[in-house]
Amino acid sequence: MFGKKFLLNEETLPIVEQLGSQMPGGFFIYKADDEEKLLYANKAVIRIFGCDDLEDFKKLTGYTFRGMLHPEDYALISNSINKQIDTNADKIDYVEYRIIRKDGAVRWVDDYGHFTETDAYGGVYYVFISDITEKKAEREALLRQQELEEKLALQEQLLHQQEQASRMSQMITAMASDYRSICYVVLDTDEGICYRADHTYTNTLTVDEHFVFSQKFTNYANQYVAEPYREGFLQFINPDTIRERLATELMISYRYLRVHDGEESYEMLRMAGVRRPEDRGDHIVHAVGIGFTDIDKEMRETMARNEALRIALNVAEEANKAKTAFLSNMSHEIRTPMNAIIGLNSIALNDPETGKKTKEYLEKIGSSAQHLLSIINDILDMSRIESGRMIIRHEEFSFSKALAQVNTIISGQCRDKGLEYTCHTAGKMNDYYIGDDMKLREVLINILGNAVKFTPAGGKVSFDIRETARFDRKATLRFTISDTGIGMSKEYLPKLFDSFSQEDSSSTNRYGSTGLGMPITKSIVELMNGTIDVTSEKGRGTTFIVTITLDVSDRLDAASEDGDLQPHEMCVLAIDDDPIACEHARIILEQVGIVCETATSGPEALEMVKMRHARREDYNLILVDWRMPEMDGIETSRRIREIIGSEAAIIILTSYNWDEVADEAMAAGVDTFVPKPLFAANIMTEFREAFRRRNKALLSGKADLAGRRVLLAEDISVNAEIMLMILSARDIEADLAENGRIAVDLFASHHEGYYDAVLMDMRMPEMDGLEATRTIRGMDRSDAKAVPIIALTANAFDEDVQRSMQAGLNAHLSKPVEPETLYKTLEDLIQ
Amino acid sequence: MLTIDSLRAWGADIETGLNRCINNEAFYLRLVDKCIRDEAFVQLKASVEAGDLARGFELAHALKGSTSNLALDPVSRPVTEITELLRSRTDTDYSVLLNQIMSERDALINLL
Repeated sequence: MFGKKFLLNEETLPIVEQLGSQMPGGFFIYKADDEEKLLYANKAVIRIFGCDDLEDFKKLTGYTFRGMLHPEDYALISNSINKQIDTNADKIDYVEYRIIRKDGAVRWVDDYGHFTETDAYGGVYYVFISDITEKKAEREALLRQQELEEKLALQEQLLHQQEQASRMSQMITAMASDYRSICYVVLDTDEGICYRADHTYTNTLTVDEHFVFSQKFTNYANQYVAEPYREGFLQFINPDTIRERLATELMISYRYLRVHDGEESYEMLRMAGVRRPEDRGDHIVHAVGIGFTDIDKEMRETMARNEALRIALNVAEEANKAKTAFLSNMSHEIRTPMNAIIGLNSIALNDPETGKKTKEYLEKIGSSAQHLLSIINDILDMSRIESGRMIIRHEEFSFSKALAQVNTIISGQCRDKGLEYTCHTAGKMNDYYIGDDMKLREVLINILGNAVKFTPAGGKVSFDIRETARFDRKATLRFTISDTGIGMSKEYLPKLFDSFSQEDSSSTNRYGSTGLGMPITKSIVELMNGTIDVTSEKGRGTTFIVTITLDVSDRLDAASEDGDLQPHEMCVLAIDDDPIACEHARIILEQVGIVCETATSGPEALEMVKMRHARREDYNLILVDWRMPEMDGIETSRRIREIIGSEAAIIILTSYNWDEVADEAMAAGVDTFVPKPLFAANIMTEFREAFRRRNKALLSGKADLAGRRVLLAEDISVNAEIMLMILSARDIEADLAENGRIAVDLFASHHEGYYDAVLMDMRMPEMDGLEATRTIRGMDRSDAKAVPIIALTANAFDEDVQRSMQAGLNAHLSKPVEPETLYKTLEDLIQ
Repeated sequence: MLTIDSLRAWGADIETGLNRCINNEAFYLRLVDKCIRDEAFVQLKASVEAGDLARGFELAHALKGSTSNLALDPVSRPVTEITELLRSRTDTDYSVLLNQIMSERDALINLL
């Protein structure tokens, strides 16, 4: 404190004393030895100690530092001073300690010390002290005050937290108020405790009740849960199920019907993990909160709503059915007279006595009638699409053939109207694709037909086909149809595919449209999962782009299964109770070179079919009217199939909507439906379609002839040898009988079922074929009636056939027998 | 030696006949050989000339069967014709048809 230059010694001490005496605060110097003897203490120190003078002070303290301190404080303070001096570069310390004044009062002082080495006294401390009792008291009071304040603040905070917690709890309670009872369940130990129970509502739980979870809840299920829900309830409370479900769901619930005292109400059990599994180390729910809720009102409301919806749906379905029925009936009501008009019209047109002028009128009547009919057909198509009954087939078809058919029709129309028509295919394409070629053709003909219709003479119609993509055995085909016709305005384009829309309604008559062609086309394209786009400019023309994805077929051969169907090889039977319709069918078919026989009732037709079949000269196509008195078309078809088996295609001709009976008809053996009346233009397409289906059906259900055994009754040895040869070529074993008698004996001498069929010559010595057949049929054995007996005869007069049928023969083959005919007959008749 | 070619030259519908025999030439020729040697030809002539039209019909019918089957058209045509006449026991002069049948049959024998 006096600097390093100041040297304390005997000479300089009085200077210090002089300085100290002037100081207002206490100042003293003591030696830093064991005795700690004071070298000097100023008046202020003596005053602090309440002493009168230095002598008095020396008496009180022994004039040592130790003597100045309260004995209880000395050790601690001394230690603190030494530590501070040792660690402080400036050798300064600060301590506070108690002293005992002369009057015995204990006072607090502060002490600023400085240690220094002197030559004269060794280590000494210069110390400044002052009485800080009041200051300290003040300071402590302040501290206490602060402490108190802090405590208060803390208390307040705690109170606030408590309040918040309680509010939260209240809020949760409020939110969970729909739980009539709540429990906490530890799944691992199967223990539960009930936190809330509704006393107005017994579920066997009381507040704070500890229970065994599985036992309590199983009892509850057995006691209160209605039987149909019980199994589900028990499954729901299975701890494994709970853990498993709560691993992925935040909350799980089960609704059930509760029965108590005969009263039923819906209740829901809900569970949530007390800690979510992802927050846990093992990701498993160990404890759950369970709540019971009364959901009776909601459930009953929901059930009532569902019931109302169900009724509404039923009403809507009924209405829709009524609409469909109406459309179907309407179209029939209109089509029936239309058939008469078109039928009579074509008969009149074919009448050589009809004059030229009348013929012109008739032609106009005919085209108007056909237009009207096309509107009705479109409406029916539309209703079929809307009711989802239009089915897209998935069958292999020849792409080139489909295009050729489209081109034949369109190029003809273009030629008639004086338009230039081009069709290009670009890039590689397959010969065969899998899809619905009829619908595809319909779409293309519709769009191309429109192009022709709306393009004035001298214009152009072009048709381009390109395969644009191929992946995964599928190919995307793009059909672009452009014309240089009248075009459409931009404003009209969005309405193009709306029903009954036409840009200029006055042009309807001029262009003869139904207004349904485009919507139908678009619907069909969409049913085929395709797209249709159109761009157009008024006065410039229109371009349609249809994109359709079809499955690819690897088939390469261009020869088609139906390509061989030639009109002159066909023999058709038309059955219709309306003679006009029969006559119309005959005229139309003759136009395309097909021979057609007619029958005006089912039974009459059956006789004709029977006769033809017996001679193995079946009709290859039978057209049947659906609605006929006595025996309808489906029944007639069924009986025809019983006679001819899978031979011949049967087409039902109808003016009705056939969707309702399609399945029944198919089961009866009908191959397809064709709307009435027939038109020469599409008749071959329809027939080919029917044959294609028939051929498919034929692939199945044929008997394998190899290893079969046949009894051949034939007296002429050359014929017999040929027959045996033909039979052996297909590995058919045959026993030969030279006459009817031997045949009967051979049949009788072998066990039942030994012969798969009998080939019976009619004219034989000893016993003829008829007699032999009657005898076999009359035998008392299971195969007597069943074994197919096939007549072989040179006589193919109807009376003979009839006689042989009556005798129990199944078929009648004319000699000489063609091998293929024989095989086919055997295949058909052998079961 | 009976051959396909000689039969064709004679007028048989070889394609049809062979087809009935599943195109087995040897088999076909064997049957034709058998047919040609059939006693029924001579018996038919004898019966008809003797006025036994019923027996004649039986024989003609059998011959019709085998000759038609083998597509021996030049002979099966008159045989078919005579069969129908005999079926109805028509009282007529059968000699023309019989001669035609026998001469065609003789032509066939010469092929052997």
